[in-house]
Parts: sequence; C-alpha cells; structure tokens
Amino acid sequence: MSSTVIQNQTLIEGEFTQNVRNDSADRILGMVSYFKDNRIWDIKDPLDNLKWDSVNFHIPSMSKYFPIDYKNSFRKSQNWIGYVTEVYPNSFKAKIQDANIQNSTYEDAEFDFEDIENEDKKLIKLGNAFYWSVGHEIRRGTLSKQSIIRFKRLPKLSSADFDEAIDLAEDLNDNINWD
Amino acid sequence: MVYDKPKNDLAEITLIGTGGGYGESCVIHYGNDMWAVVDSCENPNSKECLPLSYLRKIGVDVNNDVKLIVCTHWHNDHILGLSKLFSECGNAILCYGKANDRKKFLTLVALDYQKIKDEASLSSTTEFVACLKIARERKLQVKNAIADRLLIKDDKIPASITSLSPSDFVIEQFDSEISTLIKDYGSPEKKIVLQHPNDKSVVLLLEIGCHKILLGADLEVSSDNRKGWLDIIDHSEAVRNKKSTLFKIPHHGSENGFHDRIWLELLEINPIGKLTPWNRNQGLPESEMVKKYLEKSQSLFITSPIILNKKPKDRDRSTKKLIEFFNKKVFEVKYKMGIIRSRIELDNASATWQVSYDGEAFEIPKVA
Repeated sequence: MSSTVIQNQTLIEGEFTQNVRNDSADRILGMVSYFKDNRIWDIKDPLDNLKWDSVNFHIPSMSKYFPIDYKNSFRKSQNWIGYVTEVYPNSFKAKIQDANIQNSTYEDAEFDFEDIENEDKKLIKLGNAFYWSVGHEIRRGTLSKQSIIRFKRLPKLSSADFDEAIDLAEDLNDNINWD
Repeated sequence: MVYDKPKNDLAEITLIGTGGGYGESCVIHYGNDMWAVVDSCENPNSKECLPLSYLRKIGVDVNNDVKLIVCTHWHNDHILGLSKLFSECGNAILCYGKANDRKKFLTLVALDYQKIKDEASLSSTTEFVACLKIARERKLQVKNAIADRLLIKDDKIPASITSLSPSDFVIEQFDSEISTLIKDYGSPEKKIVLQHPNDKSVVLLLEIGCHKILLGADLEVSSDNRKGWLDIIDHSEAVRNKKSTLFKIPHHGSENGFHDRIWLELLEINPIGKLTPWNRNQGLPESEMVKKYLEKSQSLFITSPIILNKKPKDRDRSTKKLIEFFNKKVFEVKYKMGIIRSRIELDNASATWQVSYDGEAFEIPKVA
C-alpha cells in the first residue's frame, strides 16, 4: 500500500472499509469528485457493495487521474462549484459559486470546450455540476499557474435510494392536506 | 421610505428585487392585517430571506398574519429562501402551479432530491421539498394554482387573490414532460431540467377593496393562445372587464413578456408599472422595452439599475490576475437590493397609489 501526501492529509491508495454515519456515507457516494482541503478529489471507483453504515471504497492512485503531481506544493488556490446554464457549439456558460466563501455573490463564466478534458466533454450538459480550481504550483522549485476543471459524476441511485425516494413521494402525497 | 406597518384600511403591494439572480418577491397587505407573499429571494451574503426580513421590520406578526405564500414557478430566482419564509409563517397556505398527476410529480421531485440533496444552496428542488415537508408536518392546506382559481377570499374587506395561470394546456404539457423525465431518470448523470418553466408561471389578479392589481410573474407571450398571456386574455373569465391600476411587469420587462393586448385589455390606461431587472447575460429590460413601458405607464419603477458593464469580483490582486490568465469571461452577478412599496386606501375608488422606494430602487424618468 503506497501513500500520497496532500498538504497535511495522507491519502492511502487501496481498498478500505470504514464505518461512517449515514450522512457521511451519502457524501462519499454522492461526491465522486469533491473538494477537500482546497483540492478537487476524484474518487472514481466506489465499490458496489455499499451499506448505509459501512462503506467499502477504493481510492485509486491520484496521479492516474490528475494532470498535476500532488506530491508537489499547490498554493494560493481559488475554487468554485459551477453549474452549466447554457451550451453553445464550442463553449458553455455557467453559474459559479465561490467554494472558499459560501455566503457570497456568485459569478457568471464562459468556458471553451478546449479547456475541458476529453473524458469530461460528454458531461457538458445543462444543469450538470463541475468544480473549477486555479492556483500556483511549485514543481521542482519552479512556480507555474494551474487550472483544473472536473465535472461531477452523479452517483447512480441504488435500490435503497429509489425506495427512499418513492417512500418520500408517497409520504408527501398521503400526508399533506391537498386542496 | 419609512418602515411602518400599514393601517388596516390600506392595501400594500411591495416589490423586492435583488438585481437578478438572487430572486424577487412581492409582499401584499390585503387589509385588516392579512398578508400574502408571492415568491421569495435572498441576500447572497447573509442568506437572509428578504420578504421575511421586510415583514419583520415593519412589525408584522408573520406567524399569524401571513395567510398565503405563492411560488409562481420553479426557478431559483423566485424560490430562494421560500422554505425559511414558510417555516416562519405558521398559518400560511402554500400554493404552486398544478400538475395533474400529483403522485408522479412528487416521485420526480423525490428522485431529484435524492440525487442532489447535498447541494442545498444551489437547488430549487431542495427548497421545494423542504416546503412540502413543512406542509406535511403542519397539516395545513397546499393549493394548486390553475387558470381562474380563487386562492383566498375575505368578504369583510372585501379582498380576493385569483390565479389566472397556468392554463389547462400547459398543465397537460407538463404532465407529459414529467413522464418523459421519469423515464430518462436512470442515467447517473441525468439531472432534471424543466422545459420552459416560465410558461408554467402563476399570474395573480388581486382584488382589494375598490382596486385591482395584476402580478405578471415571469409569464411570456406565445403565438399559441392556449398558453401564456394570450390564454389569459382570450379565455379567462376571472379577469374579464377587470382592469388593474398597478402592474408587476412580467419577466424583467423582456420583449417576450410584452403584448399590446395586455395593456389594452387587462390594465387601466396609464397604470403604475413595477419591475425587477435581470443583470445576467445581455441584461433586461432592454432600452427599447423601457421606452415602451414608459409610454404605457403613468410611472415606472425598477428595483435596481440595469448593469451593462459587468466586472470581475473584487479579490486580491494576485488571485484576480490568476483568474484572468485562465478565463477573461468571469463576471460577478451583483447583489442590488431595492424595494418599491405602493399603498392605497382600500375603499376609496378615486384614491391613487402612493409609491415610495428604498435601497437601489428608483423611478425611471420619462425622457422628454
């Protein structure tokens, strides 16, 4: 088992079982790409045998998925969560919210398709979410600017999720005083 | 503007705007300390629900005296903060546009909620589900708005609020849209994106004492008179021969929210016009439309200026440079809160609207 150090966090590659609270389990499943410690993390292969109180998951080697070598220092970053609002032939518009400061005004931005990795291009659809991060990387003593855009992979709803949704719909239908 | 509660014999229509993007809301006093709120909006910096803050500021007992909350349509700029408002208004009936197959509609909402419930700050679905859960706990009525439906009535004042849309045709179209969305829902990447939500907007006719007011929501004009404004003009019985003296201009004064027949058949000559701008994309209203609305209104008020030269958000110099290096098309959506309040004596037919405003709001001057 090897480990990758990201700032003060140690991310260990391999298979894990971790007991977590329900909401944490949901978060792990829900955010296949997500922010933590000023980074976009991209756990792509959550295993199928998931339970609400126990999550088995696989953290692949980061270098496999990231253009940036995270063993090097990445500083002064600005992060956003964005939503696609309009799609054009070669670009898309998005509403982006500062991930560093939650209570703040949002921004409108336009991105060219060429700025998006090929495997993410199929995800440029109305309403889809993505993460955008810009910062400076120091690599072998050389400072360079970095920008990463990763589209969020929404989780496939499990049968438990479906059941929960159907239960909620029935509950609201049966227990609201509809006029 | 003095922030005080109106006397029982005064009607009040207060439009709150944020500059586009953070929502708009209309607060209504229909007499005798009875209030209704149409849509909701937020201060993005504090997440404060603006209609709720306004009502509290003027001393309204929101828990008891707000009787009706209407969600005109399912767009973020009309729903932000709605669950906070509803949770504080313990006596309010919630109202939104109808779906014929309610169970199917709720299933779609619940599926979407299941997928995106960790994105509370950005999802109208989460806000909507929170409202329904409150309604479930309270056992208070939830009403569905349709064309020509009386939502609330008080014979003593007298006062009533009637929905004039969505039309039967639009509701049928929505049913078919729901079926398609549910069928396509299996894909992990699929998110619910409603088609033409403005078509489903709830337009309201307020009849308060001697006065009539038309709140246009975001309803647009279609060439098909089974939907949009032409459906109301050609088919509504509730609004027939009832001309309003105050008009909340639909859809930020856009061209597709305008039709001469609205101004000829639904409004008195030279009504008071109020609108909120939309400071995203090319911005609304466009200058040609402002001219048109000025010609048609006695006075025209807007909750904040139309911002044409957009700027990046203020950050430290090195971050700004970094952002500009990668993307020159990143602009802040400014928060510009404005309030336009209009009051009138309920039972005086010859009374005129007394308009005052605060924040970024102003009266658009007529150009000579």
